[in-house]
Amino acid sequence: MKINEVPQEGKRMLKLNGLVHYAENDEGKFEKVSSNGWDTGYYTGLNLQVEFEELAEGAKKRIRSNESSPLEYFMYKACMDLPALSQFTEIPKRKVKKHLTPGGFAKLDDATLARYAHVLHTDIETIRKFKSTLS
Amino acid sequence: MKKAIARKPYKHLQGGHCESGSVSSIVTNYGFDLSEPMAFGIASNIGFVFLPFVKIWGRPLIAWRMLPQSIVKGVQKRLGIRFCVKTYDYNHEEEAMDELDRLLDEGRPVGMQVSIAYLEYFLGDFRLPNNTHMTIVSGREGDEYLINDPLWDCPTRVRREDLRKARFSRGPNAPKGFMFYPLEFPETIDYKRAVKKSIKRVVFMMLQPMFPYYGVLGIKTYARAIRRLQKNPDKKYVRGMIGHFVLFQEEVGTGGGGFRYMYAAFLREAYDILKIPELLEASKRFNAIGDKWRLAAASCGKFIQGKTDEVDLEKAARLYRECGEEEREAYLLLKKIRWK
Repeated sequence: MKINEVPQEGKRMLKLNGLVHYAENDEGKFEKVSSNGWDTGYYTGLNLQVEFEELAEGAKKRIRSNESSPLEYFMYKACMDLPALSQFTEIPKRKVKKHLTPGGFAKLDDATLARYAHVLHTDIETIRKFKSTLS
Repeated sequence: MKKAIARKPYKHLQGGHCESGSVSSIVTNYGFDLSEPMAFGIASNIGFVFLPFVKIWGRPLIAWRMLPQSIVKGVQKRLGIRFCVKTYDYNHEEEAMDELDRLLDEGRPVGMQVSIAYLEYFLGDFRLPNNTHMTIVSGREGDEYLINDPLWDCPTRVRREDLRKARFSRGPNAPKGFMFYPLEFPETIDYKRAVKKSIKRVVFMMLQPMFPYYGVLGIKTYARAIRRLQKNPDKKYVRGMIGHFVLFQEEVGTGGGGFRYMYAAFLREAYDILKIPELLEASKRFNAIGDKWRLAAASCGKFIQGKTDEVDLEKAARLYRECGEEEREAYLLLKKIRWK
């Protein structure tokens, strides 16, 4: 890549002014060049964010009709799916699956819920009261 | 060996990639000039791996580099720089933070592995669970730490509680409080030996003929997987999949074209030291290969942006395949170098 070919399209997911790219100058040496964004790359990140937001909205509906547990909403909010949640909390998948049902969620003790809350960037109270805030 | 003494105040250095940027930045600040491409190349960190049976969000794992922490290890091994590397288990979180405070009070900046989900300055509310970011902590003020993140153009700050969570996040590639800082530097470095070893390793790994998910063979498998997506009628699924590949190729720290440019910069730097003509030629080729990876990703650009539903994945697959072939030529060129 030559210096004048470094993409400068103005949008980036990371909250910074410019990301460094290595580009060749006229003498054939490589320089650090600041790039302020590349559209294709930006939209991949944005698509992922939108995808998880849609999943979270879907989860809200299911929680309202008592088909799912509030954990599902927070799981998608933290950009995780079932295997990821299981890995990051170090709780077996089989148990996570159970906790994602309303019945399993009702039986959750505070210690396990705290473990979920830590990974999902929230606290126990918010998860417990989440269903009553819906409607 | 001469002792590593930290420069004051910490000079912020920006880099293209988190791990090589951190290593280069911290080593330079302790008084030994190591550029980012050099750190990246000497640790033979370039690679390609495509594992369709390991899933991230239900999609294949794909990376253009070796494992996290391999640059820290590689720089120690190849250049003979002695690092102090520490990890802790989950029962010793407070101890790890106290150790960090002690080092900072002594005036030693520390590099460390963190999870980006707990760092507010990173993506704000969009909390991607990723455990493999490398960053540098250069000082503390009250309850806050000064972070010289190599991706950022200026230093930032993080609260103590957040940093503790980030250092002890669980999950795949858990950081476990991993931190490092240089202790001693060698008086002289035999660059010829180091560059030779690193290039031989890359050539050996990338041209391996056994495992179809790694190296040049891996790129072919990847191109085939892209071509197979063309027949899929579910556009949403295809968009997610291609988006995932491009995200991992160019946006997050797993490499792609950006890493080929960085490797080209390394080969050019090695040429400036050793004056072996093949290195210059290979540097030019890697620059062109980087362009090709970018071009292949950009050929799906409009589709990813949602402007059109038509996409020519045959063309993208062909470009990816050409990337593989050109890389093979470049590695064969590197293989033929007579080191004397």
